[in-house]
Amino acid sequence: MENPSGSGSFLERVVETVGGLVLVAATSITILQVVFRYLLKIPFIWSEEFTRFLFIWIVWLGAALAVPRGKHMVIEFVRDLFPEPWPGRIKMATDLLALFFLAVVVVKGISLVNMTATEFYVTFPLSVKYAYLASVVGGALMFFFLSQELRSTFRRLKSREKKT
Amino acid sequence: MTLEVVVLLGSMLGLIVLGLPLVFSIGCSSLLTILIFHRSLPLEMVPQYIVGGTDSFALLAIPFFFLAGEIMNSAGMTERIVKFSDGLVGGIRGGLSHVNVVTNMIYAGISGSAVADAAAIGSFMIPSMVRAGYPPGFSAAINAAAATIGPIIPPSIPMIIYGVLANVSVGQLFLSGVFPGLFMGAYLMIVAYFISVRRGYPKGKFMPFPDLVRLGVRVFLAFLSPVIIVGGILLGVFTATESGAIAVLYSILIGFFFYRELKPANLWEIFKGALVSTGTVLILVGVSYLFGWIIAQSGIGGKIGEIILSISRNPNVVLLELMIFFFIVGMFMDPLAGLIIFVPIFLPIVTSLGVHPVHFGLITVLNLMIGLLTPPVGYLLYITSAISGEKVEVVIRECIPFIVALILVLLICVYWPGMVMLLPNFLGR
Repeated sequence: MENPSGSGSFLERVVETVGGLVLVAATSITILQVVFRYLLKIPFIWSEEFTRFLFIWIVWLGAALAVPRGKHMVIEFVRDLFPEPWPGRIKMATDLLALFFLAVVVVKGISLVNMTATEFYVTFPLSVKYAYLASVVGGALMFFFLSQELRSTFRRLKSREKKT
Repeated sequence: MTLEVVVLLGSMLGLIVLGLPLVFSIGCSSLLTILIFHRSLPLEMVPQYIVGGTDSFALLAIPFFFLAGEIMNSAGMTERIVKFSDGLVGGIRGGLSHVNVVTNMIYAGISGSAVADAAAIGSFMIPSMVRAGYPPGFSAAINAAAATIGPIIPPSIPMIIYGVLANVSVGQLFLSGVFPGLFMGAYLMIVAYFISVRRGYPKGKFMPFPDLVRLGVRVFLAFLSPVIIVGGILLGVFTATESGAIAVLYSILIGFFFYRELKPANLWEIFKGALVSTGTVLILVGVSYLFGWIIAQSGIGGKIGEIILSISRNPNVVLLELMIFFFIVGMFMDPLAGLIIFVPIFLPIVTSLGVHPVHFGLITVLNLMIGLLTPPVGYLLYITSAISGEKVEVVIRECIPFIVALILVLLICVYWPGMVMLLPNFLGR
């Protein structure tokens, strides 16, 4: 889906770079964990818990990026069997529902972050709230990307109406 | 209770068919059900369950196997495997369809995702099959069917998820797929052979043996990857997740130093691609946990269990019933969602009847992989039809004989646990 404002594509690149680096970090730590345990006989105690934490961010940033890239698994051929302009209208209606779901994820995610502020990871000094923060950031990004998609669907429908 | 499940499943299927991505369809239907039937529950559970569902070190293996597969692909491994397969089976009538199957079998040892395999191999194999005179629909169908071998021959992303759900050894699960994966390949090739003879599809040439050996030596490094993965897990050198990271390291090393086709810039692109693949698969796992929780607390599982056991307590009959059930689930649901939602319901029933959880895992995963070939939610069909440019309806029709072959393999695996469990029992005590 093309982006009308262009700001999305910059945001996408930021999300991609940050998420990519987190994945590189998680991979490197897991490789080093094996190397240190077997070759140097120095086991890491923090690495499993820490990579689990990184993993949550990988999932949410990756899932957010998948929205503008159109990578979420979807079955569109049934919808496209409907006569025009119904596919566009149906897409707008279902996307609105998805936006509602994402809004709940973000709003309730924020309160979850507040609720878990005093819980800490065992092997490194970080609050568990930073794991739940991934759902807030990821959910908000998905909300933003999806609302842009909704806007461009709306514009497409409008311009088609004017033509006929 | 029943109404709740009807609302949950009905709204999910409705949204999926209307073209909302699976992850949002599962999320919206779960949220709707909570809002209607569980007004007193705090909605904080929505993000909590989605995050909690992916908070597992075992699941971290999934991006690693995505990465390993993509790195091998970029290192030019896919083309080499295709060349080797061509020399091996290209001379049989319908040559390229057999090449497609064998390539998928070898590739299955590197990657653990049917969808990723269908895209990686299909974008290479389907155009070359069409160029050689195979109809696009047939080319797409054989590629889609062969891609289901990916998660059966180790490593395997669905088996990692099953292992987490059922609390059984991922190493044993991986091993249980070796023979069934070989059976799948053989059956698909037999069906492709008969279709090719009837329709007069072309055949290539067998490669002279010395050349084949020379190519085989270069491809040998790809064979080594599953050996390292499974061997390392079984010898206790590393966990399944660590084996994934080691597979990444291994593929980077041979890509840079042996094949010398991998560039640092490619590697960064691969990591960014794996980020998105991981996000799409695991966010689905997360929302499926939420969905599965609603199913679990509705008590529908106990009801279904009673019904199943009231028909018969013979494990052979129960397994057949469950396989029919999972086949229907596979038509309408993503395999990972199907595993997360229904395995916790059925696993206690079958283990109480003496079925080994590893055996049940293999047949359930295999069944749900066949589900990737059955409409309406048959993701492999859409991928390969898009690559081939042929209509989905045609690909579906061409796929039917292959689906029948895979169902036969499934029945063999269900009623011959000795074959499935041979390697896990032999090695994985």
